[in-house]
Amino acid sequence: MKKYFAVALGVLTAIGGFVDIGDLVTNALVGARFGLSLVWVVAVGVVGICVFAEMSGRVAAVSGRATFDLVRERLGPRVGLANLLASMAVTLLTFVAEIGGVALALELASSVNELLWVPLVAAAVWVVLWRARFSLIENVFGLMGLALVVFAVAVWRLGPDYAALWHEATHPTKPAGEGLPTYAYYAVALFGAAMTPYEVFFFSSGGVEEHWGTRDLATMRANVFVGFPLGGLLSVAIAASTALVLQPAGIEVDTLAQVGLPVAVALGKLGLAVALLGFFAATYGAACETGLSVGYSISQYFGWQWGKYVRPAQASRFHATLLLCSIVAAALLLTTVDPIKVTEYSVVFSAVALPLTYFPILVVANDPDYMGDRVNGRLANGLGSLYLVIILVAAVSALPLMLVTKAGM
Amino acid sequence: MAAGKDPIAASPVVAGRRYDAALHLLDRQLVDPDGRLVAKVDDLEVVEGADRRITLTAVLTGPGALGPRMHGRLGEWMVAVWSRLHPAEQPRPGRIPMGDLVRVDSAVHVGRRTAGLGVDGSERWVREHVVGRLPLASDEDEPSEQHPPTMEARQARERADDDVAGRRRMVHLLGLPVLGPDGVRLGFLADVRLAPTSGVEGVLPRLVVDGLVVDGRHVGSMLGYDRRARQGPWLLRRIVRRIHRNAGYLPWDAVETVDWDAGVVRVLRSDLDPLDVATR
Repeated sequence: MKKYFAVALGVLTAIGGFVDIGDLVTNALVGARFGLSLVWVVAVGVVGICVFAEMSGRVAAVSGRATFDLVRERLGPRVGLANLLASMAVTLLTFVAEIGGVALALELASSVNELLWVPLVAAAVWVVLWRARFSLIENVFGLMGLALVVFAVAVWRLGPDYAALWHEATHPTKPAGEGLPTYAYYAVALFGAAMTPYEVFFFSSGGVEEHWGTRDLATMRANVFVGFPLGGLLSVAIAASTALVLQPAGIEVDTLAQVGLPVAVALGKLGLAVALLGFFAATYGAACETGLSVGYSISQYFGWQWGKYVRPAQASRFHATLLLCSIVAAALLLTTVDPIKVTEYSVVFSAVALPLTYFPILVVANDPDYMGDRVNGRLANGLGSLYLVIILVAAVSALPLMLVTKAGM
Repeated sequence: MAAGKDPIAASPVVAGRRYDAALHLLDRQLVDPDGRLVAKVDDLEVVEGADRRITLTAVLTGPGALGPRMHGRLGEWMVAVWSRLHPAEQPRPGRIPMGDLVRVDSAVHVGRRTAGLGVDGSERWVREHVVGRLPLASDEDEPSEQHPPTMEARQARERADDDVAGRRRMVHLLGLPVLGPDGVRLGFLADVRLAPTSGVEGVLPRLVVDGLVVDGRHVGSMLGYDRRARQGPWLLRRIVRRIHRNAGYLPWDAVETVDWDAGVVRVLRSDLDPLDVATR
């Protein structure tokens, strides 16, 4: 019974924790501009994150080593350091975007300007990183994030022609009036949002935090293979809701309020309140995850003690990093940069950094010295190799597309 | 190790697990008996004995050991900042003698607790000056944490460290050009294979260099694909093997000399053995 409870809890938090500010904004934006014609990218991205999250989780459970530990071990100190700097920059950018997202959600709820919330939010996130238990971070925000199911309810209440939606999603065509580079640019952004590297840093380090062993592999796989696709469905629901409400009206999404607009149209104030709760939980939880991920990756590179499973004084350099990150994030947001813009850039740079993370995982998941007889099977290797090629294409094309389309103008 | 005596008794190589220095030891996590993370294996210390055998003597940690492995400006800068911040006049990298190691798997396991190893200077400093002063940090500390190694203990340890003359670092060996009998370059030293001897260092057998992995290219590791013919995935294996198609293995008896000053390895053969052999 306890076992089933653990699996259910893990799946639920995986669903609620899947969506972060990047998924929220990118899906809403893409839904409003391209309808459901880019849903296939979400599907491709979700399968990809499942393949690599399972691999990194399995490596963590079998060998006790988290992702960045392996990055340096396999790529050496020089390439490892370049990788660390790039991954940390992207994760820190995502961290900034998440904190900005929490502040925006609070602004929507309170009408108090986002900038006034930023220092408070950064401090509150740091307090959670400093004192809260790991399981608390994962479970509370993951479960609260389920409030985003309200987007699926909103789609249902809007009573769309499901056959037409299904046809649009399965027979994707570029909408008239949008250029092919723009379409490709948003495809890459959506892919980057679904496969953000911090997800595997956090997932594998979390496995070490919770002392996973080989007996936990089944639970881990249930979380990944059930939770992540359902989380992906939530992403699709967000895109569908903006496609139904905003696209016909010709409204483009560039504020968090517009992301929540379809819910308000379909379900009124109460629905909007639930959506706001979902925004808050999803961004706050992801802020904690990205903040921890920055600390995890730098500590794992240098071999420092890290983790919430020891007391803060025992992992002092790790906690000093977390404190520094929180201060830097607040400082960056207080320059009045628009968190939504930061989010849009963070998902594109995520796409650029993807191979850095996923390549070493694929190599180590095949190494019997680490994995014994739990090395990748044919399916994991086939999909892993295929995705490595897709990831490389996305990474190489991301920046040129950004320049050509002036970031999706 | 007593002063004066050649620390490297010439003990014969025996059967047992072999390690590749770069693939299996460098950049692995060091873990103490409580499961605490100590540091990374930033470099390895080796000593060349009277019989020219090269023995592994210690694991080196910290920026002072990592910096030289970065090569170039960045490495110099790392070492410079580290020695400026270090309290000692002429700082040395953290050193854990081979006798303190107990096991090598996905991590390198140390037999002593972190506090007794004396390699956690920066962790201690950040704890005392930053993290320990934050609100709610004042948990009761573990007793062992209360007794950092005294200055005398540290000095005694450093004197013991000084005993072995001719200590070298792995970073100065890896990457050296390998020259054949007629001075033709066969490639660069990509890795060294370490074999156990009948001598013992703590609980592990003493490890000596028993062969060289030579690669035609100077850059790019083989990611472990050199050691096994069947390691997947197929695509990566093909690419890595293609890039490193000129790589091969040389047993130790084919090595003439390691010329540390000139920075070359001279060998007696011009043909390399295939890599998959002699792994176990």
